[in-house]
Amino acid sequence: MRQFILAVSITCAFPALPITADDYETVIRPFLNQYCVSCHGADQQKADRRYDTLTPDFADDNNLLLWQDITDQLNLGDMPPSDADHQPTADQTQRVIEWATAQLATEYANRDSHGAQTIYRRLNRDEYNRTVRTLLALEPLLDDPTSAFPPDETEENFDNIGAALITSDFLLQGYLDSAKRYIDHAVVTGSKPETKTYHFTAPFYKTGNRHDGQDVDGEYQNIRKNTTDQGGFLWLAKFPKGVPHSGYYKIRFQAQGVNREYPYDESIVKTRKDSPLRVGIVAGLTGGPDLEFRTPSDRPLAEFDLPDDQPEWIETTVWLDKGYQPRFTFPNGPNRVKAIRKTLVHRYPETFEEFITNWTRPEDGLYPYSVEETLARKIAAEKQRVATETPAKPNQIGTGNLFNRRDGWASFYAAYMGPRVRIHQIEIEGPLHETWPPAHHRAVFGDYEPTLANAEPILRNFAQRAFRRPVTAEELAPLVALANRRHRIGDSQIESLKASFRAILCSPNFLYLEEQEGRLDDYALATRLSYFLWSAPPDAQLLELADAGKLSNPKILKQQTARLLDHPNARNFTNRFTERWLELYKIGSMPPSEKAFPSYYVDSLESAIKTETQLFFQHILQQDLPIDRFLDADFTFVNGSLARLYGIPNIYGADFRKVSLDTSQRGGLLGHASILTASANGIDTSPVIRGIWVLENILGTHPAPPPPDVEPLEPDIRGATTVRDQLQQHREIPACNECHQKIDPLGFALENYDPIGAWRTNYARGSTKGPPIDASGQLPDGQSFRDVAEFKVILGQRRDQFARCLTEKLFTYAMGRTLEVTDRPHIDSVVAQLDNQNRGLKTLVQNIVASELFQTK
Amino acid sequence: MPKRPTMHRRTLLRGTGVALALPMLDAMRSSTRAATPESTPPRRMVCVGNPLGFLPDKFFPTESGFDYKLPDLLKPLAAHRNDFSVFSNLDHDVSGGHSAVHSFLSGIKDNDASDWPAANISVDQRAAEHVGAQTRFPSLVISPSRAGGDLDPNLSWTRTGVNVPPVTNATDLFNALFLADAPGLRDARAHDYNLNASILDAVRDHAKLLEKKLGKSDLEKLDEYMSSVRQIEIKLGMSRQWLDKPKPQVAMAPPQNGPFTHNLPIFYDLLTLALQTDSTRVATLAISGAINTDDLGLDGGYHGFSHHGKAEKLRRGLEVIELFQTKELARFITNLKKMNEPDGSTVFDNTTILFGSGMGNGSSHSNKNLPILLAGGGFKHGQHLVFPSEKHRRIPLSNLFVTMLQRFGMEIDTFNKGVSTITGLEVA
Repeated sequence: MRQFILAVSITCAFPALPITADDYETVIRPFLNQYCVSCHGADQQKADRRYDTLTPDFADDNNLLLWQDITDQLNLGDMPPSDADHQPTADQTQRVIEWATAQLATEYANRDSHGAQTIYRRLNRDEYNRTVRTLLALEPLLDDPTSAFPPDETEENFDNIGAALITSDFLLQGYLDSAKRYIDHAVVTGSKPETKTYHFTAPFYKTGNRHDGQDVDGEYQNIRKNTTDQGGFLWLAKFPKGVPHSGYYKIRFQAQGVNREYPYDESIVKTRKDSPLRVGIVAGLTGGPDLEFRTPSDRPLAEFDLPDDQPEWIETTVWLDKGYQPRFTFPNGPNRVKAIRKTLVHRYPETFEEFITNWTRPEDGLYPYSVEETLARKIAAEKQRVATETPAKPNQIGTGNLFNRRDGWASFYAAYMGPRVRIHQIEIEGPLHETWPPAHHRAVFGDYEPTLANAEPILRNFAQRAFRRPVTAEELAPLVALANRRHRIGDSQIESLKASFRAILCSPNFLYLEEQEGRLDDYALATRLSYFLWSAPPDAQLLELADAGKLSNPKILKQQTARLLDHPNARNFTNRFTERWLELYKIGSMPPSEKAFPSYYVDSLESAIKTETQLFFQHILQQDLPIDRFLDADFTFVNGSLARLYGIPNIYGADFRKVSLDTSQRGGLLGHASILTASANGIDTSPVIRGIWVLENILGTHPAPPPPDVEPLEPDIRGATTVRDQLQQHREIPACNECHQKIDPLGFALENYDPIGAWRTNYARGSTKGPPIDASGQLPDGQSFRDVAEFKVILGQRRDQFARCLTEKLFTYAMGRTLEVTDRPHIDSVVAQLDNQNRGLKTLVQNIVASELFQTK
Repeated sequence: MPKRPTMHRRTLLRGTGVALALPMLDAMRSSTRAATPESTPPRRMVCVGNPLGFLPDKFFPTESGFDYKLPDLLKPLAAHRNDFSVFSNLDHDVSGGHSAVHSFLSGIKDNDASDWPAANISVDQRAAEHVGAQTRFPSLVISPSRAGGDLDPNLSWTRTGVNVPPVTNATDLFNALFLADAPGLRDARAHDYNLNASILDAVRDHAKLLEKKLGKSDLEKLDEYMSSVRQIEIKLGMSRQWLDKPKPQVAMAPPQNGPFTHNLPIFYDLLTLALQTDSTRVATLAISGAINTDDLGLDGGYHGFSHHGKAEKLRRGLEVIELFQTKELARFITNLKKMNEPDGSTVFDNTTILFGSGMGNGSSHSNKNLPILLAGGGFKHGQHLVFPSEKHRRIPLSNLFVTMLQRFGMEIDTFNKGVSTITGLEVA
């Protein structure tokens, strides 16, 4: 098992006093025996640490790890615990710290500092996808051949760790299939396709039993709801095969937002009356599942705000693959329309009289046989009710999931004055090819005729770009031989060459990042740098510098790092690094309950909360602001939805902007809804999970997993008991308290945030108010806080610890490996260097690139 | 020489209203292998798992032995009570809540896999290795809906520590099993196999060149790549063997894919047909934690209900979802019992069905005392077997897997953490 140091703040001050070897016996060992061994000795080994058998032989890796940990704990003042009977004096502790720090420094200096290596690392799915698309100039392609790839293996939450990433036959099969699809997309035959214009008028598609009573054929058709509910896509029934060729298409359409200020209570319909209605374009593949509904091929292409009531022409140019068609959506439209219908009919019965009086035949809408028993019972009951209770009363109508009239929706919608997006006309023009053959064809063939006579230069050029370095004759030979062999057995010349392109995309030279032992050569450096900052292959400029052997020149490397960071591709660094460091990748895997958190869906919070954190990181990076802003900041980025979640007034619409904050509730990462959602489970919050999140991602320590025989808590939400009370009981067990005293308080500080990050003062008990939140806590060192604002002050005092944590996360991500004990002095020196600079994030990234660690395999 | 099962020319599946009219297949001709008499039906294994467990007080009987009272969740299985056993106090001695559920069929968490000789291979994939190319699909790994992340049970793992991705679309599953190749598709497929084999030859040349360049630790990774190449070549070989054998024809219409409540019955039906037509002998059905509950008359998510915190209303919701699962299991068993084998037994008699979860209690997130039910396979059933609950006397659940693999026809005595067969469960 790969060990990693408990990374906590240390002083980098070296001891002024010379210390002799005798000190160990006279000072150090007695100190350990008196203050440490009772918990970390023969009888008990709390936190899996034992110091009675520890020797001053620092050459031993286990000893080194333990001494480093002792030093860190003493520096931090976390040990001995504040409630221990025997406490050393400050002088005593200082002597041990000085002695151990000096020994550690000597040992690190003696060691080969390259003990740890990045293991031959394959591209993860995201990197693979971006790499192929870049290589083939197919960035906007809608088809995603990687969607069937098995998920990437992770270590310490990172999905780019060479040692952890596995190549399996499932994945290799995925590479084979994907290469075929990508190469088929890239290579074109025949002459330039003619540009055509397609016109569409309402009705664009025939709605089944849910059509809108307010649609006007020949004029317009309405969209009434979000696509998270069933249906909701306005699609083009008269365009059943989609576009005939892949390429860019100009889409012009006339749309209108109506009833933004609808006459119903906003708490029922939930679409925000204060924000413009929006229209979206989502591509979908024809010839498959019904395009009125969500399909696996859905690709969001664009979104626009709509002015009220006035029909407006909107124009946009988008890429469409052959066979796809654009569909139109209402992204901030109502969700769960069945429940809305039920409530509206109850609340406003006079409005829906037609719907109420002319209603239900229970046999309609029969559900499949799987629930036949229940259904039979329900039908019998419903029939009974209908027989005895006609005329039906409003509160019985339109309520069931199973019972509604075939034209029930139409009669409901005829009277419904809720928000709608109205589409009048649609025009699609394309494909718009500026050149022929297109860029993606030239990306593989260059300017060569696609013939076997040209096989060698064609394949050499493509393989060089794919392998991110020059290609040897030995490597080229099997590729040329493959094309020739395919042609001999009957494939056309172009098909034979395509086989070789496919082989290039399945070659280990393409799929893995190759690095030789020791210092990286310029090609490996270009590749490491570009996957660090772009998650994409090195561009022509980087490769030219590598060709010239100039990239490793520190001045040029610094310039290139700055260039890469200023490039739009640096967004990939922001997005991917924050996703891994802050565990944002977990968002969506345990989605919040739709019933308890409707705003999460109606306000599209899932993407908004991630965007906030990305913009925040991006801003700190671009402006080179101190990394301390991550712990607390008086600004953040919000759009209308997020402002509503945070209670920030007067901000509307989907666009994000920078806002100033009162830092008592927000400010810094701990107030970001993304992190608070990722560290909850969509249902409730756990101070344990959030406490561990803070320890691992902000303070850089890894709490030990619970002993295997301890049963987890069984939550009880029936009464006034809170999770805090339950954890209190848990901590009364000494074996649990050991770790939980470090974990739980950090999580308590965040208890004012609910599972989607909204501020709360009481727990929810169903729809009623539960017990009040207590967000106070006490840390093992005795420091206490009343709420998150005070907790952030304490965190601010630990900014060195945070700097180390962030530096380690960045190194892990940049090198594609987890850190080892021998990396410690390198990390220390990068952190110390930053401290002498501006503590800026961009500076930190530059320091990392310039470090020996980054430039070594 | 592959073993060939024998089957009836025409068999009817009444329970599902699905009739099978089989053409004369290779598999229906008598086997030439002496060790496999014509009348011996193949052994089969089906594993079903969900990620959130079952309400323990509604799943485990209170009494042990034969004479127990059926708990609420097992009531749908009343007609089969002599054909299944329930087990208490079995688990894998792992913890981690959601993040340990994926060890259900292996006993080993994926980050501990490297400590074990066969990594965290799951019992179904171990059985699939034994079947090889004898059936068109060495195993079927299927899931009627997908959640992504820890709300999928991620049941099947290979000996290289890789999670086998499930087929999740009802139409895709039907097509893979039963859709006859369109004219010309056979040739296109043969061309594809051939082309992929040539591509693999070329990339193997590249890998060999790399072998000379890379250091020791990098070579281990390259070796993973090389063994993947070999695995695909083996699979290509298996696929070629099946290329000219037509798929069995079934009278079931190609199903539309739909949400979980729509798909689960269809997946069980397709599984029934797959076993009956000997398209596979090993199948694993994963129930994900992201399912539509509207169709069960509920308002709220499966995961939400599992966090019931002892609130009665939420517990009732969870029970509805869990009952839907045990009802579908009962229907599956009923259908398998209706299918006769040449030797007079039923397909059910030759199919061992494991049903349960890697989660012991979804509310507390305990991975202890897993809900385990075993049906069919020709065992002496009808009991609630209660194993010791004390820490030092506990029996690993993997012992049951050893029993299942032996019953499957494998000559093994251990499997991962399983060190012997399970006691108290006899072959009838």
